[in-house]
Formats: sequence, structure tokens, C-alpha cells
Amino acid sequence: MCLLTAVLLVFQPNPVKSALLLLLNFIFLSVLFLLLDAPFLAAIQVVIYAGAMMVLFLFVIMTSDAGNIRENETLLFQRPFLYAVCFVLALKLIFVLSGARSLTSRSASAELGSLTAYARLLLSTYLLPFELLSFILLIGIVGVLRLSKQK
Amino acid sequence: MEEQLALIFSALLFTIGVFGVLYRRNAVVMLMCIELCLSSANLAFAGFSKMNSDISGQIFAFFVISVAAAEAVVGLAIVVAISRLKDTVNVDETQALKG
Repeated sequence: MCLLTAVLLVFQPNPVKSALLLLLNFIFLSVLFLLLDAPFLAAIQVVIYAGAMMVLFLFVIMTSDAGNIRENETLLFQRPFLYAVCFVLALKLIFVLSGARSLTSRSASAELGSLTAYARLLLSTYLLPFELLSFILLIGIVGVLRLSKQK
Repeated sequence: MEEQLALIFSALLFTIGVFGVLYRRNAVVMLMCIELCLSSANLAFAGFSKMNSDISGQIFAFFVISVAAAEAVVGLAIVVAISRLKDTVNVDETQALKG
């Protein structure tokens, strides 16, 4: 189902419709996160991607007149080459990832889905990346303000 | 077993994302396909986290989501600036770096 919405997204000529298909895709992905014992990831997937980011995408599509552009093939042989490359990429990725085995012999622990363990690890071991992340977001805000100021 | 399925699924989703970036000419839709690629990486992180029963993978996915949000915001701002300047979002028609 999730793959179907992704394929439809790529081939949908109308950007508004493909944005809505992306929204559907993110919701299906959050269900997959729930199945993988990651409830926090599922929640922020819905809130950040499906909530905040899709509104942004739709705003940009509406304001920048992106809805009606003509897409035509400009490079000779680009499309057949693209199909071949993507087919090989898919085969390669599936081959590599299906060989993945667990590194530990531990059985699934009960604390994998717990928010307490998540927050403890995030604010102790990964404290520095966490703080750097806030700095990146700040730089993003300043950059967007600078880009949108210039007329 | 469902971890393996999630990994294969994320491989397929990543391929669709790459295909979309190369296939489409609309800059906004290309950004959406990049988001698709990043989400598939998140799915792989969650799968590995479940496979090793280690919560660090989920924390990496959290970082990926935040950086993807920042990236999408900056990318969309650039698209809006270009569309104001040139009145198009087709990447084939925007070839000059200078305005």
C-alpha cells in the first residue's frame, strides 16, 4: 500500500495530488514504525512530516504556481537509462539488505519502545548531536528569512 | 522476520525516491521524492534498531527527521525565490547560478 502511493506520487502529473499522496505515504510509514516497536518515531512522523512539512509543500505549490508546468524529456536516452539504473539499484539494495543479520544474540527487550529509555539515551550519550541539531534548525530559520527577504 | 521485510521495503522505497528525483522536472516534486528517500532511511534505521534490540537506531532516525525538515524548508525557500525571479520551477529552465 505504501509502495503503491509512492509509485503513484512519482507518476502523478499534478503536484497537489502528489503532495496528498506523499501525505498518505507518510501515514502508512508511521504504521510501519509502530509495527517495528518505534511509537515515538511514528508520532513525530505524523506530526512533523504529515503535519508541518506537507502544509509547507502545499503552500509552496499554491503560491509559486508550480501546479502547471510542462515536463518534457530533454535529454536523449535519459529515460531508458534511468529505468536500467533504478532496476540495478533496487536489486543491489535488496541483495545487500536481505543479508543483514543481528549483531547481538539478545532477545527483544521490553524497553525498545519505551519513551523513557529513548529520552535517557538522547540526553546523555547523544547530547552533543542533539544540541548541534538545534543549531542547525536555527541556521535553517535564519537562512530562510534571508532568502525570502530579497525581492 | 518483520525486520527483514522492513529492510527490503525500505530498499524499494529508496529506489522509488531516487527514480522520482531523476524522472521529474518539477523542483517541488523532486524535493518530495528526496523526503521519500530520507523516510526510507528512517525505516531502515528502525528495522536495524529492532533487529539488534538497541534503541540507538531510533535516535538516529530522529536526527534524520529533524535534518530533513531543515533541508526541506531551505529547499522550498530556494524554490520560491527562483520562481519569483524566473517564473518557473522547471529545473531544466534554471541553469544559471546567478540571478
